[in-house]
Amino acid sequence: MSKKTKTLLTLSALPVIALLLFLSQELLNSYYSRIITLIGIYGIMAVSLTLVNGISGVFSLGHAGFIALGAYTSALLTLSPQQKEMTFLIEKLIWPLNSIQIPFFWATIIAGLVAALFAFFIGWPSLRLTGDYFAIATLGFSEIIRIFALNLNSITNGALGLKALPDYSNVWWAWGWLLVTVACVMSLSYSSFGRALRAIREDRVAAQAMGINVFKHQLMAFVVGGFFAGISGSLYGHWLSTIDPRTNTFGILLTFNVLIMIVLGGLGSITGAIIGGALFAFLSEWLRFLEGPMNLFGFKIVGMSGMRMLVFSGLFVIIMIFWPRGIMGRSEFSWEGLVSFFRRGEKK
Amino acid sequence: MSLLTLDNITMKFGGLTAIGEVSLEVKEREIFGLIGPNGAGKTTVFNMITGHYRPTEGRVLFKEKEITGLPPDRITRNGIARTFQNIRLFKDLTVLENVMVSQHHTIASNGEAMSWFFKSVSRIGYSQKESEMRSKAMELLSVFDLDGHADEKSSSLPYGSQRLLEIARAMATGATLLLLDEPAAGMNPSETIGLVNTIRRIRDDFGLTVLLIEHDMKLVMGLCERIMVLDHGRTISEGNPAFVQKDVKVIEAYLGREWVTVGK
Repeated sequence: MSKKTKTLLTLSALPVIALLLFLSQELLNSYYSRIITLIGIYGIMAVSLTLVNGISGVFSLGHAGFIALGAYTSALLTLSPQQKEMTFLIEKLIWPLNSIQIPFFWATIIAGLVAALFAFFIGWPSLRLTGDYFAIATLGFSEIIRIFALNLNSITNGALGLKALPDYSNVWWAWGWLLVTVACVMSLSYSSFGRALRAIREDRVAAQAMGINVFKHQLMAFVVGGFFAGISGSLYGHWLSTIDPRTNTFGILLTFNVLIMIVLGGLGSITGAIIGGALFAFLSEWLRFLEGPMNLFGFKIVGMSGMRMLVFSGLFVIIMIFWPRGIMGRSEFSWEGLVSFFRRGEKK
Repeated sequence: MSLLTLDNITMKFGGLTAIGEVSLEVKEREIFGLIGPNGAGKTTVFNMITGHYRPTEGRVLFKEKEITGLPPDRITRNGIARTFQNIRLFKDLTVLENVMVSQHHTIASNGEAMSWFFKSVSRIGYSQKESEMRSKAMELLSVFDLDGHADEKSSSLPYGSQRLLEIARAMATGATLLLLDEPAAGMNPSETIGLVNTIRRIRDDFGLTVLLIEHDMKLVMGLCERIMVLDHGRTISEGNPAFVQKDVKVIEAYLGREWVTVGK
């Protein structure tokens, strides 16, 4: 298949996806369209973490911190001054945040920039560490961000969190930003810079001996990853419509969820990350039926909460047994791969 | 003119002196051999030149500029590149990509790094640079007869070819001085002969200077113009191959008595 055909196929796939999204909006109910939006948001989270953990090979556990930063930043910018007045009960919101309100698009961009800035200042000291030590350091920093959110009453409203966020995150915003994220991360990782990052992942010492400044490149990946994490945070916040600094929404649990997505999809594969994100969003919703009361072969089973996560983890264990390197491994989706996949089916 | 000068370098690890006051001068376009028994400190000397270790005492001069203690990437950008004793290729990258990685510093380490970064994210004005790098890498691969394997993973190459790829990768940095750490280790005799010719050829065609560590005495004596012998971190002999072979201290410490009678 020539390069031209492939580009043409990719370009024509975009309107098809757009059409499918449009149809899903028209035909499916709002519950499903919310899940489709969530798939887009999880996709952005997973792709941005893939750039850091999969491609440049530094093991960051601080992703939730940047997502939370993005969520808070954009929420404080999109909430109306009246709503802020009503929400901030413990302490008044500081000036100038209490009197500004800007459009969602710009709020999201600023959210990304703020997260990138923090990624820079967190990455600067902690990228001097390697491996597990770096993981622990970033984990610590993301907890610090959460603890600050919990206690900075005059900015984050402390434990009460922010609520009644405008319902901006629809399918178009989520998937539009997913497209931007994938385009940026893809072209970065398949350029000379990405090649250098993958070289560092394979052998740090040799990469340095070939003239690559390891620290600067890893910091670059960390900052770009942080930027898109901030973007996804903005979307996620406006999808949830409330933000609170508990562990299971913007805390360590979120980091591990994103980690599960990228390991499931294949650590180091960008398309794998999207597949992992989609699978995670879909399964975690679809398996909800397990928690309701069921009628199994005449036996009445009372719904058990938590059952969903049990089956969920079981599924992951099975997937990791059969695909130890995740669904895509380190390779990307390609049209040839798709064709040969279907050809294989024909022969049988 | 001397290209690389080691001026009384000493490397101490705690109480252990790995290298004691070694001085060395490598002239331009010379093939210089560094030999000695295992543990003599040959690789330590390499690590000090390339910035992996900072010498405890002494200076390293390259093109008459002091480079002592610079980080390895800066030293490579100054023009010294190395290979490793235990092969350190980027295993998951293709053969071609391994060589192209070495050219990355030309766009990432000048004042235009930021602009190249945005060019490669936006893909505007980037593709020409990429194809330039690609064709230059292919040229280098063809020197080592590896161009036929350009798109294979580097880990799938046979051992001897992996060693050659390491040399190609080091050359791609644009270095003028190559440090080869046991380039013939694990090669069969015919591959070794090929290697000798290749090293000569790259010296002549690319105007490179080569400093190499090797245990294969046939290779060293046939290829190197000057040799330095290390033992227990100290220089015990230095000179041309004919001189070093006859030096009693070298025979005692490294070559052994059989070399004098049988080895020739």
